[in-house]
Amino acid sequence: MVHLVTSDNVEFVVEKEVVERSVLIKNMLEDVGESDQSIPLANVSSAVLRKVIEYCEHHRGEPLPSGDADQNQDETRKRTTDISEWDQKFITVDQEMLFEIILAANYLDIKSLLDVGCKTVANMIKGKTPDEIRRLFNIVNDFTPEEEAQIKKENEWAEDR
Amino acid sequence: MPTITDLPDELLDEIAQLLPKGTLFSLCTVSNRFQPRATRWLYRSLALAGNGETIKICKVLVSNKLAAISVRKVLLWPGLAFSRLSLTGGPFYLYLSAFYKLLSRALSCATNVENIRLMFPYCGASLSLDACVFPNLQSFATTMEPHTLASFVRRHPQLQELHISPSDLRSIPLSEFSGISLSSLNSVCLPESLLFMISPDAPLQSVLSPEIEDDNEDIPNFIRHLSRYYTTLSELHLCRPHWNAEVLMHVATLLPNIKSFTFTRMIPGRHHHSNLAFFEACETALPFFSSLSQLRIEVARSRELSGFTSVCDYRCDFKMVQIWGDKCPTLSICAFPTGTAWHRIEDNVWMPDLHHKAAIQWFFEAASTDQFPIHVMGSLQQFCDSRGKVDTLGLLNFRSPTAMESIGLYPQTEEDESEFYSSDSDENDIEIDE
Repeated sequence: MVHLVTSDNVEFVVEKEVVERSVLIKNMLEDVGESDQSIPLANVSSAVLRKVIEYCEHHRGEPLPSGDADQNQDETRKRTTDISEWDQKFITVDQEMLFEIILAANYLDIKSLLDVGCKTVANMIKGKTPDEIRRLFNIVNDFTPEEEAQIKKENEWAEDR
Repeated sequence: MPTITDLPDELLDEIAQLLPKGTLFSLCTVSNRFQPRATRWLYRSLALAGNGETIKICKVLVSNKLAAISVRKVLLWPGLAFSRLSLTGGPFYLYLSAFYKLLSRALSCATNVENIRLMFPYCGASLSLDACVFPNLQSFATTMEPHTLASFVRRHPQLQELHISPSDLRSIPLSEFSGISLSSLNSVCLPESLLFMISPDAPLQSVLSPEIEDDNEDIPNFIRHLSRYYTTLSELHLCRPHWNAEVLMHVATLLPNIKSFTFTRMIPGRHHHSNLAFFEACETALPFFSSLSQLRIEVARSRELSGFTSVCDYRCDFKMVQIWGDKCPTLSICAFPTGTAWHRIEDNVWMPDLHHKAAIQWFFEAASTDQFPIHVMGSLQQFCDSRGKVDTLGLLNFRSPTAMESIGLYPQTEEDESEFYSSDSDENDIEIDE
């Protein structure tokens, strides 16, 4: 069993097999070896870690993506935004939690969870106009109207018509 | 409370690369933060097909540095008007030279490009590459008549993939290429006369022979030349109008590490006498292959034969694939000219791709009448269960009473017997709509 302590000081005790889906923790455990000392996760809150552990438990035993798969990422990685049914349900959370999960998956180095998060955001953006995207994520438009028109003109070949 | 703007750039990149062109266009004007992320992916892989669009994109590459350095892949495929062979004057000539000048300037800005494909025969395209050096170029393919090609190749000794497939062999000014030696090549498509460009210590893995009407006698030379790369060469695709039994034996004995071998030359119609002779030659050569895992025999230029529809005789193919599998124990995939690929699933048990209704029908019939060498009814049952009542493959149109009884999918009725499937009907293959 592995002891984890979150940013809000909550201790989690998790099976090694489950928690090792995080490459960060896996490497830590390999470096330090087995110990009862708890691992502090200063960037992850208990609410988020609970979700992350739920994900890792559901996917336990599945093969981890190998390191060299990253190399050819561009060509081989399927540019699909399909998400499996369970993952879809799992990631149906409010925006704040969604970005928390993405940041945590990035920090803990859980590639498959990060992918699910990024695909979800991509699906939210897909097909939307600039205005709709700004409203969706509360983004401030910091372009002058001239700048915006210039960028639009430059890329007009890519516009969906 | 994190929002999307709290994500680091590399995560915004992960998201942006999943988006289609039209949405990247929108994302560009969302805010200063998103513009570079979206631009990076919008210009990463460019297919320059329409002339108007090509000109627009080229202008951006010339004026926008970020867009230019984002380019990794370029496919140039201008319209027919740009494929005129010889133009020496007139307004259209002026327009064309301006076009190629712009193209040339745009490409020279794309300094990070890794992959270029020029899919048209007009030499203007080579002119537009005159001034360019791409330090990261790994892959280059062209079908054009190469006039300045030699100097372009000479400037890029790091190339890993080089495909030169001119429509006319005589158009290649061979002397211009002399002295070129590319030591990083792992994949090529080159006529025999240009094979010398591959350095003897190149880690060559894959060779495609361009479809050139050359002399039958050259093929053994082609293979003999390739044999100097025999330790690494694992994939060979011969696309030839001729064949002889010698070729197959050459490949088998001189290239012992060949795992995948494709031969494109067959005449449509399985029973054509020259096809039968070729099959015989295959059978003779197969025991001499030592690592062959995929063998594909394809019909040459089938697109030109409009009246040709592939008719598959599964019973016959099944017999043949078993004999071949026996002669060559390493073989695991075997594709016949009809387009059906057979996969070895056990010792010498082969199963066809089930993409065609006729294949499914043959397989069901063989399985239910014990002609298939292993017992698969249990798996078929599972398959049908998993499909539920949605019969996407049209399995239920096939009603062999014995098959259905053992699968338990249908209670047998008298009506069923009237629609007994006959394997002799030699049905045309029908593509199943997705």
